[in-house]
Amino acid sequence: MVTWMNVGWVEVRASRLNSRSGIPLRGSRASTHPTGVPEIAKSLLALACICLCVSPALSMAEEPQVIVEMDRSRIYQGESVLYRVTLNHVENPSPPELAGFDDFDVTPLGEQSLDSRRVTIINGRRTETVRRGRAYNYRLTPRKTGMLRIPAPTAEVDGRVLRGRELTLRVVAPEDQDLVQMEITVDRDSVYPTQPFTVTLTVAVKGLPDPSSSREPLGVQSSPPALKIPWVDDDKLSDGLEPAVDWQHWLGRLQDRRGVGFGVNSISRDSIFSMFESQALTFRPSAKRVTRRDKSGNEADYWEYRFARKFDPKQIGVYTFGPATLKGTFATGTGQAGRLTGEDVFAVAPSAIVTVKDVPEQDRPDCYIGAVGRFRLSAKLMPKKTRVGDPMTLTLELQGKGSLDGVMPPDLAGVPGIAEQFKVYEATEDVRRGTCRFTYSLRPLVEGTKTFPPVPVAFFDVDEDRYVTLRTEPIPIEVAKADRLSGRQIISGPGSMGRNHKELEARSEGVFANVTDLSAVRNESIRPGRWLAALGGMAGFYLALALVVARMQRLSGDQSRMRRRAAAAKARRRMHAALDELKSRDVRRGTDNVQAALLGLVADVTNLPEAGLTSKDVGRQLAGFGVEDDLAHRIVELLQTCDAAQYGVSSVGPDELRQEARTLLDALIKTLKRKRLFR
Amino acid sequence: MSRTRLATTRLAMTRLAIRITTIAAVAFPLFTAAGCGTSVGLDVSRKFQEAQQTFDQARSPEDFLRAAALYQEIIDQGVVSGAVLYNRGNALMEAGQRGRAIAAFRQAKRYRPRDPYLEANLRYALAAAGPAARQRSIIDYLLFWQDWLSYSEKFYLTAAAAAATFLLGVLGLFAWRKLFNRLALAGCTLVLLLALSAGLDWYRYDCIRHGVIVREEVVARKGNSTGYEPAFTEPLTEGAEFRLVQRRGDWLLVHLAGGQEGWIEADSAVLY
Repeated sequence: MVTWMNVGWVEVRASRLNSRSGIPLRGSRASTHPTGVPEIAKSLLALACICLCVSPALSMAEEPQVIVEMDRSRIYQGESVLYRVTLNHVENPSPPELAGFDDFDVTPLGEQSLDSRRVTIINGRRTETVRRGRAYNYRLTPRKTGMLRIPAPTAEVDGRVLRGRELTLRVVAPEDQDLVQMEITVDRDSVYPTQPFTVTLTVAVKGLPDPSSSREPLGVQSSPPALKIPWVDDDKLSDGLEPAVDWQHWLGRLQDRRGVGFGVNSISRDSIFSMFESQALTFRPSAKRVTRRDKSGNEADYWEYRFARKFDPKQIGVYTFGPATLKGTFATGTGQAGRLTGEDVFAVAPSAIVTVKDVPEQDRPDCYIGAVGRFRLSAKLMPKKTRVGDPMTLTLELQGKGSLDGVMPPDLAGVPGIAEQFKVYEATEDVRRGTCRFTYSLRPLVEGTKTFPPVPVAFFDVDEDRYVTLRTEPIPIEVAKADRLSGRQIISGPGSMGRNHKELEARSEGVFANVTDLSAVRNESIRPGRWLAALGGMAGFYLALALVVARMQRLSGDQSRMRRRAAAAKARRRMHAALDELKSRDVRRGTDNVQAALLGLVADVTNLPEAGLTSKDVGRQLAGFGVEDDLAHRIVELLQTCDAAQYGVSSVGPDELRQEARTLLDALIKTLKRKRLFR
Repeated sequence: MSRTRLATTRLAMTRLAIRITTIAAVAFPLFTAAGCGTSVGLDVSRKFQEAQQTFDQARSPEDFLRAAALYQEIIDQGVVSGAVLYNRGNALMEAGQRGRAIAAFRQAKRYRPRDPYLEANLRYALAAAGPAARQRSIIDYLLFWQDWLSYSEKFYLTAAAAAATFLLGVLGLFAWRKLFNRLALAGCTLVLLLALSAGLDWYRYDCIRHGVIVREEVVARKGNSTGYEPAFTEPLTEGAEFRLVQRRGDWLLVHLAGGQEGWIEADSAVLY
């Protein structure tokens, strides 16, 4: 819901601004309020007081009356006044007639019912007061300056013509001053739809007198000058105009947080300290120091501020921007104690006009579809292999920047080669932002057609100020004869086309023939449960495999395990070498290798260094493994015998030693295997 | 020594990988065959030809209905075929049963989404019944292939992607881990998307029941008896499509494309 409250030249649009993001919303609950809130409040209060004072007297009289009120009696040129006509004690009144208001632009601002009923009971006595009436609000904008007469409004009530009173309004012309110079300029005064243009309001403020001439004039203002720029509010713009950015973002970039600059259209935000007060926002474009001529024709120093806003015109028409006004106090000199003195200024910038013209008729191609801007064209045809009479879908897509309002699908029937070879049905169009898609249904008429001809589409290029014709690429297709079609129901073949074209069109609708190919008949049923189970199984299998591989890799990196696993084979190899040496009567090396085989086996199984092991250590370790005492004892004895044999003091012969060593190693390996010590 | 052993271990692992890969390669066709469609038997082929012959010789709506019934017999044997459903839709259209034909075409479209003839016939059937009930949701735009791949193709593709991902994953366990694991991860994402697509199709057609009005005009009511007030200002016409919300006895609570709901008699619509 949008609620407008108009008071004088100020407009407040509360609910909408509360819901928008933008400048007023930054950091606070925001809405726009007039900067002169007290002034408006005063106006409202005055009107309310008038109503209150007048109404008891009127209610006593109970005679139909026309009451006329106005919020101000003196305004500047370009400003407006609120004008209210109240028809009091009138039931179901008609709006008053405002005849002779030629000096004003009259804008109705709505009406308000004043119907009320008051019941008072004093000492048991009941009194009922009924009031009927309606107030009509208008905004009057003077068309000229001077003392203007506002004619008396008339209203017809029960066949009687009632007259209100006549008022006067003084409209003050902008003073002949040179403190502020304002102008509205446009970069292009004539454009085509979608061709952007920029409207610039330039406010040139005369530099401060010495010794403050180096200071910016806006920086010394006690209150910011009030600008009224008519093209700020997006909702008040003409339908055919679209701003490049919304007003919050446009002005947001110019906002000055220190409060230095111009007030624009009374934009304010709610104060964070009070629910009833608002904070006026100020906007300051970057200043540029320039030299301009003052009213006496001399060159003077000015500070120039530019409010430039870009628009995209969408519709043809004449658009007026302005007038813009400025009210404020500006410094004119230096008084006592070096304080600046100033004077009130009211300045007006005359309107600027932009004409949005239609694209030229001259050289307009037949394939112009109404698009204005700059676009790309693409085409898609499906299917590319088809038969005579089968449906095909052609999609033409125009994509780019510009206006696509009112575009018409290209007339394919007028394109050479298409009408002869294809039956074209009415196109559907789908226009979205920057893209227009035309979809045609086609049916080929001629067997053997090899290409779909290029389709020309023209648009008006606003940048180059000329029509541009785009053509789609020829699309290779294959059109076979209509052997799938049942002659009774389906479109007729090319042979009959020439004979009876109307009949061809009449038959083109209807169902296409059945599928007769047996290979196309398959049981396409799906068993999602089984499928899901298989998929889950595969995932599970992968996980299990990943775990196995991870374990294998971990084990392959375990050096002690590797040593244990290789221990038996290593001991056997050593023992085999030892036995060969003993056989060749090399007792010293033979016994050395027997010792190495046995000690190495125990060292590998226990993951101990082989070099430091003694026969006693072996005996201890074997006892720890749980090897039978007899076997352990015999192994220890054998090791000691080997020790003695190396020094030539052994009484055991090599053959006996060989036999004993082989037997004991086999027995030990067997025992250790049984006890799973090689794993 | 340890180098030799390490080489032996690697060799063993490579052999294992080859074995697993071979198993997976063999399992893949079996796996897809277990979950997806098969060719039809001889009796079904004969029935199909008989139905087609009946259709070709049909001269009256009754004849076309007979052909439609023969196609229905094939479907009743448990054969789900887009071609059979399409032919049945054609027979029903020729018999003047537009609503039932739309239902058949809709079912056929699930299995023959790219068939231009089917699309044309469905459009033709819908032209008299008003706009189609189908509306594209955000997920349809996300899974843009949803209306382009058939139901079985979605499953086949998902299975193929899953098998390929499995193979990549297995290879990644043994060699070029980084490369294969990355590929497998990409494959997983693809499998998930395809599975989502297949699952969505399954949900839309197997979990949700759709229907089409088959009577010339049906008054939808606010409750499940003729005693209730009509739910809409206009009766539903033949070919109007809906989604079944609830069934109470001989009454169906239907949800129309525009979001409205009403009760209709069960025999005034065909469900699929």
